[in-house]
Amino acid sequence: MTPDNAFYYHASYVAAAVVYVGYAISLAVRARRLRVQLASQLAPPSKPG
Amino acid sequence: MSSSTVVDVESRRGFDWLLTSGFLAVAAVYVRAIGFTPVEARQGPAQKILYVHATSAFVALYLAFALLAVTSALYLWLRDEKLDRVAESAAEVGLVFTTVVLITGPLWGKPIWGAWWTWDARLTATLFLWFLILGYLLLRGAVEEHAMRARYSAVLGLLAAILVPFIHLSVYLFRTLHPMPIVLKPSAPSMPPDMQLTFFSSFFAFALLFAGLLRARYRLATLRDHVEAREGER
Repeated sequence: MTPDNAFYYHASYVAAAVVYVGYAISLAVRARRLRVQLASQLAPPSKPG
Repeated sequence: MSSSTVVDVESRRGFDWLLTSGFLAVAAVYVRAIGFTPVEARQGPAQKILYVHATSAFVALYLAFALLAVTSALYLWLRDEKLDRVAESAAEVGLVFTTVVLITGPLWGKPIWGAWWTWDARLTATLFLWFLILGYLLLRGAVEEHAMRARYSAVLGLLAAILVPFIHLSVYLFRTLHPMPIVLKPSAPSMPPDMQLTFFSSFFAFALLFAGLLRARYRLATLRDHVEAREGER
């Protein structure tokens, strides 16, 4: 008789999706922070007064 | 660092077709595995964990960490900082894939073995490799001087990758609970054609996802190096 253990495979698929999507989001967030930093470096210095 | 290079790096932002293709391919494999692949009679639905677990392991061990080893060795020879960036990216993305392996493995082990974890050779070596790669990334964060960081991490990356053939052969060398290979073995894969198709589709989907994540991580490393270089010029 085939065992009923679908919960474990559903949990695996969800966990894998969370890890991969979470990592892709972390890459996008880190890249965005760096672009902001780069933009501030490239911006001409503001004139005093 | 020329401003044209910076502009070039900046221009690469926007829609990432490679990464999107990777995620779409994995989503398609999920649909096929869940809805259109037969359930194995003895293991039940938990057998379908194989399509995520084994293929993520293949990508981590035979693509990510193989690339880490090759680029680390080439860096020690050529001292090209692009090779160091590829090695760094392969290590981080490989760590993500290994994390999935270490999460999905126990989720398969519990219903099939009756235990979440066992300290057998393959599982222990894979966990050890995960810690080594984590150490590699921590080392990169701890050393500030670029050339020294690249050199030390290339040596550690090479040492970590030595574990890969050991992990592959561990099921032959030791008495382990881990199943013997059903695909990467001298004889033909021992799987029905329907399951084989899902398995190989899954491998190609995760390989595509790996390529997308690797390229995104490499671009991040390039951008970071530009920012750090400009910071140093100030």
